[in-house]
Amino acid sequence: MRGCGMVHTFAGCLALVLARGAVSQSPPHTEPQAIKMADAAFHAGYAAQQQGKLEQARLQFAKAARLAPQIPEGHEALGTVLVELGRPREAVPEFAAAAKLEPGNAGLETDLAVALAQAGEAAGSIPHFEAALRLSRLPGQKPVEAVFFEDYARALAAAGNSNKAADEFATAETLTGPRADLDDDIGSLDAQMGQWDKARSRFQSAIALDGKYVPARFHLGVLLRRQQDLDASLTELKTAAALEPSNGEVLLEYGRTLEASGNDADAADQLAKAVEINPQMPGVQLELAMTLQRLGRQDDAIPWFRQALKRDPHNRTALDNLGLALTLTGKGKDALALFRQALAGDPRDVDAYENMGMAEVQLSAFDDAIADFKKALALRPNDPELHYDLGVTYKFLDRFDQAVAELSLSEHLAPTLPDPPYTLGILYMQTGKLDQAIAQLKQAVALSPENGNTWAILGSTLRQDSQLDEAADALRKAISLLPAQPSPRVTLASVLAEQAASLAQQANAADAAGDQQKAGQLRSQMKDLRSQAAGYRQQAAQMSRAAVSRQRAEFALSAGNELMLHGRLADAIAQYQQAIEADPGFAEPHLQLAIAYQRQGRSQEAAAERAQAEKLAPAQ
Amino acid sequence: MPLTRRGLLKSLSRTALVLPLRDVLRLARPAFALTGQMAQPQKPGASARQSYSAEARPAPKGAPSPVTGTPLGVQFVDVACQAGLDLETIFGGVHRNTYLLETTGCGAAFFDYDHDDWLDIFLINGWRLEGFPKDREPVCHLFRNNRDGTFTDVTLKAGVARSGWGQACCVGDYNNDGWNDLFVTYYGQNSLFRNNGNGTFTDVAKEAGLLEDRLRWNSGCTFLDYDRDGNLDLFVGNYIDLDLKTAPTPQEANCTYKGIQVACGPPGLLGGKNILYHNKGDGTFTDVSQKSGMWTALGTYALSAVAADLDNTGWPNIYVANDSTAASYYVNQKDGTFKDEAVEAGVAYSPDGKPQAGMGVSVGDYNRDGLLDIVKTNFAGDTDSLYMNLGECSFDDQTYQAGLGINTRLLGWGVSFMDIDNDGWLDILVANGHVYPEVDGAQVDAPYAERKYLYRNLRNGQFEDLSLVGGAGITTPAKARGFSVGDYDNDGDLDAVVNCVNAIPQLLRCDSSLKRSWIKIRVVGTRSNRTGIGARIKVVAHTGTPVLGASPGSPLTQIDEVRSSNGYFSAGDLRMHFGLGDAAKVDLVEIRWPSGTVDTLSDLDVNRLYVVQEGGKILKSEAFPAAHHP
Repeated sequence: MRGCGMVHTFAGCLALVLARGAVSQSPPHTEPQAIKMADAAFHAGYAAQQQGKLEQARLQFAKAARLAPQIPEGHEALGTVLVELGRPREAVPEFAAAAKLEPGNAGLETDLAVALAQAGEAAGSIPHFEAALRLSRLPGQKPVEAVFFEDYARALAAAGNSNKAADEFATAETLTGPRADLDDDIGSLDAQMGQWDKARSRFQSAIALDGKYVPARFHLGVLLRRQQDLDASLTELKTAAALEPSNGEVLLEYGRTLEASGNDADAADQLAKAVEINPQMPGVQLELAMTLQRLGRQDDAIPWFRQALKRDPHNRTALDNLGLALTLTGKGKDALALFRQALAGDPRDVDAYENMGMAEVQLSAFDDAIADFKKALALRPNDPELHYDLGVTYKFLDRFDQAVAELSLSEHLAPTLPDPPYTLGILYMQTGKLDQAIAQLKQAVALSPENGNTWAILGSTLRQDSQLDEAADALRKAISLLPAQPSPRVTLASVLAEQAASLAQQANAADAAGDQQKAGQLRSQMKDLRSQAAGYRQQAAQMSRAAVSRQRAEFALSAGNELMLHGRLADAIAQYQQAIEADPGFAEPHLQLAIAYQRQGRSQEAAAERAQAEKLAPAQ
Repeated sequence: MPLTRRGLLKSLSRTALVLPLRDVLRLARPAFALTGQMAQPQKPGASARQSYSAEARPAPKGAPSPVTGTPLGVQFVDVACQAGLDLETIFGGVHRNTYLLETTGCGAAFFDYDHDDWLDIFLINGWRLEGFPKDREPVCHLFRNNRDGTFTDVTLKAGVARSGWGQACCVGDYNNDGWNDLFVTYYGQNSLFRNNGNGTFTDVAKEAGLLEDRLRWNSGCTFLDYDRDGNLDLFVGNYIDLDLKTAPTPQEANCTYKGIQVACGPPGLLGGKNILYHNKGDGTFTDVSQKSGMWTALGTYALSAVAADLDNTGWPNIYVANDSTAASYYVNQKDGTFKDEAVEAGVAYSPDGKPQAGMGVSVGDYNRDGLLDIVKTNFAGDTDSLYMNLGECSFDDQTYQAGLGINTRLLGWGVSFMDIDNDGWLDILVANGHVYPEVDGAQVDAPYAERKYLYRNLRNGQFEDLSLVGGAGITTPAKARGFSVGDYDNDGDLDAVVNCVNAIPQLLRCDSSLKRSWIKIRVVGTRSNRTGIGARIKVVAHTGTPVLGASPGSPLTQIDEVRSSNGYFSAGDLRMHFGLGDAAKVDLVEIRWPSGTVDTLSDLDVNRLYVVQEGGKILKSEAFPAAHHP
């Protein structure tokens, strides 16, 4: 604001007015007493303003403007303090009055423009910015400073004139020299105009100028995510989050990029921090809820979905996924109420019928589920997934023929969807139609060759059909895709055992036929197969044991932690020791044991446990 | 990408085909936290036992069987009431249960406590959460065989009238005084009823060092001489580390099964730790559980246990049917320790490597190859399991190939290999009954009270389901749990006594129209334990039912072992019964004692009981009078 910066100015102004009054007709209210009081009020306002007592200043300046409305400086001072008080809308008429009293004053035009822009009237501010700029270029006028161009650019941007806004920012930068914030502003405008590469380059330039300028990293991070350069996005946002750990928006976007990278666990942590810092950010609760849901933490997700819905009661994503979370946690009845709510809003909402069907399946209300899936199909008859849902529901009721019909239709409508042939394969297997089961499962693995479970089921079905060689191949494929799962190994061991049994029979037959050599060869092969089977079972056993040991260790660790919370150190130590005994390679119990020892004053033992934890940690 | 409805549906559908939907939902539940022992206990989360969806499928065509299509020739008739077994077994709520403790029921024993070779009956009793007025508590019952098809309740006189959450029983002469004793497990302290030899018993659990230092849910038990020192040791399975003060109720944890609220667990609850007691030979035991390797087993939630020499090493192993997790196969390392080799041996999981909810277990050589096989009952929606012993500590799951995959609907508890038609080939009887009373009136496709399965051995490695022609004792629905097998009326065929929950027991008398031979052998150890538990008996006879492919007229060789427990929580006839078909005499009886002694007897008459002492002396040979049925 230009403003009446000096206290003597208002006195000067008064003198001028009085002088004017002497040579011209006196204004109706310019009585000397009023002028004197206005002067006093102006001085008092100024003093209050200097002391940061803005409300007091406002009252005094308002008094001055009322007592001497013909003096622009009073209005200007009042406008200025109103802007300082964050009340730009009230400042606008004061600046307008001042500008009217003193036309051609670039400073007053600027004040008015800025107040309008701040009051949200960007379009209205533009003519005043333009006027101020024009006036400032008149001979004898002081040229505007860089900050004018920044304000002007922001108003232009807000008014939708991004191109010109960028130009004005650039003008500001020519006056100030390179500045990270201006590059960031220009980059943001470029991004708004969809000029992604240009924007990226501007943000990078801003960061080059000031590596600690968080908005540029924040914007660059978001832009990089948009450009699918997730690693680079993570780098920028991680740095931004480290620089401003309490910036909720940064944490929100960091969380979103972590989600996009598939790292939901870390994303959930960042989003939880973001929502704690600033729960008012749009979408933050929903984002966190969805992340928790993907992590399988349905119970944790539910309250966040509820909060998201409180903020936006008609958000379909929140409504649907809360319903699904409730379904998944066994609260199908609550889910149904939500889906009915959605349906009340739109009785032709196919998704709502489908969701209801699923909740009803969860409640074992299969007949209701079938009815709802059929209603959905009446609205969308060629939806392959709805036919699939219906088929699966028939399957739950052992209505195999209807299940097969629906699943076949689903397969016909969506020939690239792997689920229908997979399900059909299982159904045929269950009804003893092994040939058809195998054909469908082969189709499923062709459509989804990376699905280890399908390979495992195919292997098992081939085994049932006595196609042992093919079964072994499928199971080996399953093992390669599911290296941590013991079950395909157990099945493969069964296949190999059967192959061995077959060889044993052949060997006996060879014996009976007097062909000892052949019998010997067959028995040797049999021995080899049995040995392989034993090997696979051994591996499965080791895997199972490792998993169970870790489970037991985690259980003891959790118990120890709870005991620690209750201050029962000795009991906690016993639990940690039990955890270590169950899984000696698990670092966390060592670490917790170290803490417990430390609290008992057993520093040496604590150090040993800490060292052990550190030794084990890199491997985990 | 957020979890969309589509994503969820796919996951539901995909999984639902391998596992039931319930499993998917169960897996979505958060892991529970241990809080049971905390200063301020909180109720842990839990879920209901998972449900199963194994496909029911007939066996593939096998080798032609000489049995298929022939009449069964036997009928099982429930004569409990007329025999005087008219006391209801109490166990948990009748229509609704809050805790799993109320669901598992209890076992029974054909227990010849007075050694007169007429089987008496011991029936374990249970409890209810709300308790009972004094002097009206349900107690275990001992019924003396009147030798006329009826029984007399001698509970009070015998001193076995204990109340509580009774579970399983096993029989053996732990102090080698010549009288078989009775061990009964409880949710709480177990009882060791020492047989005083005069028709009375004394609970000596405390004196024997068998009291436990905290509340435990003891389950299946079995006496065995694992170190072959001539003294019977004792294995006690443990199901769940359950404390009713902290255990979640169905409402609290929203535990559901097929949409109905049911008792929570076992998933989400801490598994119990199995116990092995070593007999010191002075009438007392020492707990050697940890050092013997009991706690290193992969599976948990132990229910039934059986001890047998499954690897033909002469040393007893222990097989445990675990609920909801891998079964345990404790292989005797011959040095006082055991190693769980269930997965390696192929007896831990289903053929597809999935854990099953094991309930009862029985062993027997069903294919007459000289190796003891295993049959195990599982949960509703799953098949029972039949593991064929391949030797060298390896088994093959033959459930489907053998024809047991035809049934998946009912929920099995008691199970036994037993030669129902005396043809020398072991058949299978399975007692069913749903675990949750809440299924009645719900849309679950199986009722609470269920009929039994009766499988006849076709002698070609397969069985045929003859349940519907096995008589009313098989087809009448019952809330069955454990059952014991034995020839209580000494008529030469095997009967069964079934303990049910909140109902009177069933006494399934086998009425046979077949005139086939048999022999019973009861053993008395001297160097070995007096009961002869672990003694391997081989019987060779020309039964007319040889193994397929053998030359006509070949004799049939059968083996069996004296066992302290069988099936679900139960103990059977200690007289080993062998069906002999049309054999006129027994060519050979060979007894391999736990001590290593081998006795052989030849040319024995059929249709007699022989009591053989270690060393080969026949203490008694008895032909029973013709059966008299009231």
